[in-house]
Amino acid sequence: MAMTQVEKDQVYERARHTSYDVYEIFVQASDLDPHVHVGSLLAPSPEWALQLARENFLRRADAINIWAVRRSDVHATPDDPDWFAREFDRKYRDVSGYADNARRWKRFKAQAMNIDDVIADVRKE
Amino acid sequence: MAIEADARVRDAILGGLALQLADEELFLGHRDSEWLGLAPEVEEDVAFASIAQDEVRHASFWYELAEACGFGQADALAFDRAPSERRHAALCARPNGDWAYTVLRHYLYDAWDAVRLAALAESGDEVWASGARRMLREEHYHHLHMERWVVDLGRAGGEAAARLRGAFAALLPDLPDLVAFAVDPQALVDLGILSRPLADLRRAFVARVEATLSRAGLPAEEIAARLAAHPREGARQTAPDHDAAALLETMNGVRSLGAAVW
Repeated sequence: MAMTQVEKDQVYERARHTSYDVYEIFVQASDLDPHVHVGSLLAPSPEWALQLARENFLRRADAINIWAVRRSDVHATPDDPDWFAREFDRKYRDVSGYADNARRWKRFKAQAMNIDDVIADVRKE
Repeated sequence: MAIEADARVRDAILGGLALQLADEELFLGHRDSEWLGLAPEVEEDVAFASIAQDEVRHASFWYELAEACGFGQADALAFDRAPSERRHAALCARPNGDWAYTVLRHYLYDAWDAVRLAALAESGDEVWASGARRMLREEHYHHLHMERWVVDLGRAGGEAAARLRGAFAALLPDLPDLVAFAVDPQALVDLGILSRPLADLRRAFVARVEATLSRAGLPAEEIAARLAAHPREGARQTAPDHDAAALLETMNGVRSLGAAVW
């Protein structure tokens, strides 16, 4: 005998209640730290996810806060390489030009001191 | 001279209590750890083992207190005492049975542990009081964990609820000895270690578990009746040897080789 709509709804309700979801777990180590993703787990409710996260991910590490986020609640970009396309060279945005600042500054100062020396020499005369 | 004698009496009573608490935590922790690799979910497997490790750590705190009372070296107290010398409640050393029995036992033990730790936290002895306060903070989360299991199994219906009812029936006869002391509780009150008499603590225990057990569909009212029928006013009797003997055999492989060097 086929199930009525009410029976189907009941089955759906029950399944929804006992289904396990994947939760992504984020741990904040101290007030100065951001929440950091540490892994995921299966749990039947958000409360269970926090309980299990406490014992699974904080067995040795210290923390002050945990976030549990149902994976299906995470909005991710499409699996589409065009989202991340880089058609042109972006070297101009990089900071690599500053990499040898220290060396340049040292050289400049060495030079400036030479000029000071020259002035001092002139004044002495 | 009289003061020395008083100190000896005090140490004998407090050391006896420390050994009781230590044996209970050690045996329950070891029974819990037997689930490693077998718990119903991989997440619970790690979580339950982590809780078991907490219990064993608590045991070592109590063994150190027993050592301070002149009962001998803590490791020897943990590993070398014969089953007949142990002070645990029988329930702590029982074989695990199924998952429903395991979580309901741990729930009931934690509920009682919370009540007696709260009473010890108000103790006149600062070492006992501060140890109890620190343990209470950890035990709170164990308690939440087990409470959730008990309620979820009970409310799931079907086999889960049937097994939980079976576990309750099996645990009920062990409760009067659990909710009791291996030394005379009145002596603990007189020494200022226990802030409230046993009858008070028992009432607090019943109040603590009743709502949760009812929510899980269990006949919670049977607990108060069972406790009333077995008041255990003095020091309770020691638990039967065989469960402790079986546990010690699996725990003490290293000891059987003589004094091991690490």
